[in-house]
Amino acid sequence: MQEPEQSYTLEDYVGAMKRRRRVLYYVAFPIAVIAFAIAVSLPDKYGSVARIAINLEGSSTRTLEPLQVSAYAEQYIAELRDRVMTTKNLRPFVEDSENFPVTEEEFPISDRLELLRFGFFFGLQSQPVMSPGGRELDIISGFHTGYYGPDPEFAFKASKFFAESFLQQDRQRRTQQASSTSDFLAEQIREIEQQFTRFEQEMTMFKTANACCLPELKELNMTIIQRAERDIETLQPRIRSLEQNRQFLQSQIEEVRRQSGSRDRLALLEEEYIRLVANYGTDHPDVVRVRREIQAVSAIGPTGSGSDELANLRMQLAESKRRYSDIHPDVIALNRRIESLESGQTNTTNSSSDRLIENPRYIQLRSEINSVDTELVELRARVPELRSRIDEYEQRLTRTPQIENEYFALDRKIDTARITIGDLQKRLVTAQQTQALESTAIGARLSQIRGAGLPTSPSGPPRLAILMLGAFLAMTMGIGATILAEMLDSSIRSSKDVFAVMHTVPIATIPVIQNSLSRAASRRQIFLISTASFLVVVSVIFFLTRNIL
Amino acid sequence: MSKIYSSIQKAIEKSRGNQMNSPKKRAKQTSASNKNAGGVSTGIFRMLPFAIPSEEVMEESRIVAATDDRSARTAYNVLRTRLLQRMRSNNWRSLLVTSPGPGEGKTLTAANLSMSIARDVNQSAILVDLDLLRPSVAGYLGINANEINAGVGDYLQGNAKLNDILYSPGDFDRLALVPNRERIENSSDLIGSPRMKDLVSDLQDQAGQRSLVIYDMPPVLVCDDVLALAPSVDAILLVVGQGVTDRAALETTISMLSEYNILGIVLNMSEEKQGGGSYGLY
Repeated sequence: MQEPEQSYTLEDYVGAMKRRRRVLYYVAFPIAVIAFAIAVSLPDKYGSVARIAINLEGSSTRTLEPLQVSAYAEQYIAELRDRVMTTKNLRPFVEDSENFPVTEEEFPISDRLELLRFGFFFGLQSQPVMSPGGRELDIISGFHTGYYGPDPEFAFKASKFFAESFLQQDRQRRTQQASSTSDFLAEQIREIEQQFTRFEQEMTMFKTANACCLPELKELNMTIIQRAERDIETLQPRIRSLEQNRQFLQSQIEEVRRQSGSRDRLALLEEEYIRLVANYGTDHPDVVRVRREIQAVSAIGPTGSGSDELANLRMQLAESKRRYSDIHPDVIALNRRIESLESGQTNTTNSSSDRLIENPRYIQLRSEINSVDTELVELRARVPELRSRIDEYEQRLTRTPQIENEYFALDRKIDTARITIGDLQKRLVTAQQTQALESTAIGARLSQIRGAGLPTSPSGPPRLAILMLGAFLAMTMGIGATILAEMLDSSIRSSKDVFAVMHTVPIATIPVIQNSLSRAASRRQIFLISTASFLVVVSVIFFLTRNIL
Repeated sequence: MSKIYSSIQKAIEKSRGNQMNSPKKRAKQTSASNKNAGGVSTGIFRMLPFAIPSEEVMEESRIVAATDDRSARTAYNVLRTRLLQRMRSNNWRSLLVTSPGPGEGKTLTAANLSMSIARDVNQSAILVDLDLLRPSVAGYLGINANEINAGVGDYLQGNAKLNDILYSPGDFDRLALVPNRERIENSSDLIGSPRMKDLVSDLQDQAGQRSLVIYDMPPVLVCDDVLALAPSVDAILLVVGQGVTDRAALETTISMLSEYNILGIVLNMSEEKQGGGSYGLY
């Protein structure tokens, strides 16, 4: 015997629905009946609608994006709606005896307000426009408002009242042109600008305080250091060259001295010694050399001990003056001894010294060497000066990283402030544009394009929709309950189930045996379904022909 | 054998003496006798006392013979044919009809199957109502309790003899009925008693080679009657009610009867599409 397939087919599902038809009926039928009862029993309702357009064709709208204009319109309408629905605005209508010909006790004001708000309806309307970018956009073009209730006359009155209220609130709002938004933004901008100015001042002070070490001067400082180092490198050969020149000139002078006698030479040496001590101090090699030379000339010279002693005293005086002031006792004593010696030798020495000094060759050499010495002094003085500058700029470079963090933090602060300023300025521009829109486009903002009318036929409730919804709910709930019942049922439901348990098919499958009772039940069932279907069809046709959907 | 036969003869004469008083029943008997002029020898069944079924009750009880449900009749014919083929091939002559639980259609199946077999001119059947806890075969057939002098319960309790409990249900010449009159609490004890073995043996002898003894038994999972009788019968037919029998119950039943010959399963109350369609109208 062929084994039944284990997979389920459409026939199995149909069989399941047949098996569970009672569940389907018990769930779906009450829902369908309730929906039918609701659809039939709800009273007729009448709606009266007024359509109002919003016109934003002011000069400012040309500078704004369509979506901005639409958003503004939506916001404006919502604001008007809130104003319309306030108790203060609705109260005169509900207190009017023509609208509510009853007393306060019979129908309290609060209940009237609730009734009016309950029947109020409102909806935005839009129309497609092409954006500058070529995209199609839905822009708010207006709205409709009105009232929906069981009494057509009251619906007409209420709808008319709502439409007029919108227009009135629009006019009132125009008269109360508040520039609060733009004022607020302007004030905010001022505050932010002050803050920005404060940041800039802080930056200026910081730069002033750290002018030498700013990160932006790093390259300049490096350049200055390199230039100073190059200058030092340039000075060294120059100094050496001058020193060599001086030595040459010095040898020339020595030659002249030798030619003019040892006494003259001693006098020249002494003069040289005094000059060198004045320039370099006593420890300089040139000073030491000249001192030794003086001592040597004094020791071997033919002019006698008076001159030697005078020379020695002068050397001691020069050294003492360098160390002490002129009023020091040693200096005073040395001056006296020198004066005493000089007074005894004036006549003899003057003659030879004057002779040497008057030598043109000597004078020329002397002036050249003086010139060289002056230049040397200048150049040698320049080297420490340059080194000092290098040290100074190196210190600046060392300080730069220390202030760098603070500098950049302040810089970032200023950048942030600058961006904030930019944003605020944009907002200010937008606010000013909006304000301009308020002032220029308001003249023709709301206009009623269709007034409320007296409804002649009911517009609701949506009976067919209720019926359809009821039918849909009945079907889905019924099928859902059937599926649930089928899932929860673990009984044998077909030959396949028998095979699944027994691994063999049934020897026979006996159908439900039909007798007179079951046939009568089937007939009743068919009658009920036919009647229900007929009622539904008749109801649908009835509601359709009333044209209220 | 001759002893049994003579006792049956006596019972028949006694019963007919009582029942022939009714003209209507006599007419029925005459009609039945005429219909069974040919076919397998069912002489002893013709001589049994009548227990006339009610057409209305049988129709209400969905006995196929009383309805005009052709598809159901065809289904029972298929069951009869396949069942007889298996019984003959195994030389089985007694069949126990049961189900895992109550309300699955075992009594209805046993009754309809018996009648279907009885319609076969080459076969005869004895239907025994052994559901001692809830006897219902007579009720399904609409047999008046007053027409039953003794049932299988009386036999098992020793209050009646075999010839006292065998009845012929009117039109069905090749069908004998062993009804039960009332509920018996200690059913398990009785079914396991030597009297029950004697009954099975005697009925088997009574039925002959071309007859089938069908025992309608209570559900397997309700009491142990089936387990008590199962060793004495040749095969078991399980009835499963669609939407009624639980899968777990069926598995348990199969497990409990695994050591006996389960001839097959009948899926009852099926809503599956039956093959054949309107072929019968051809």
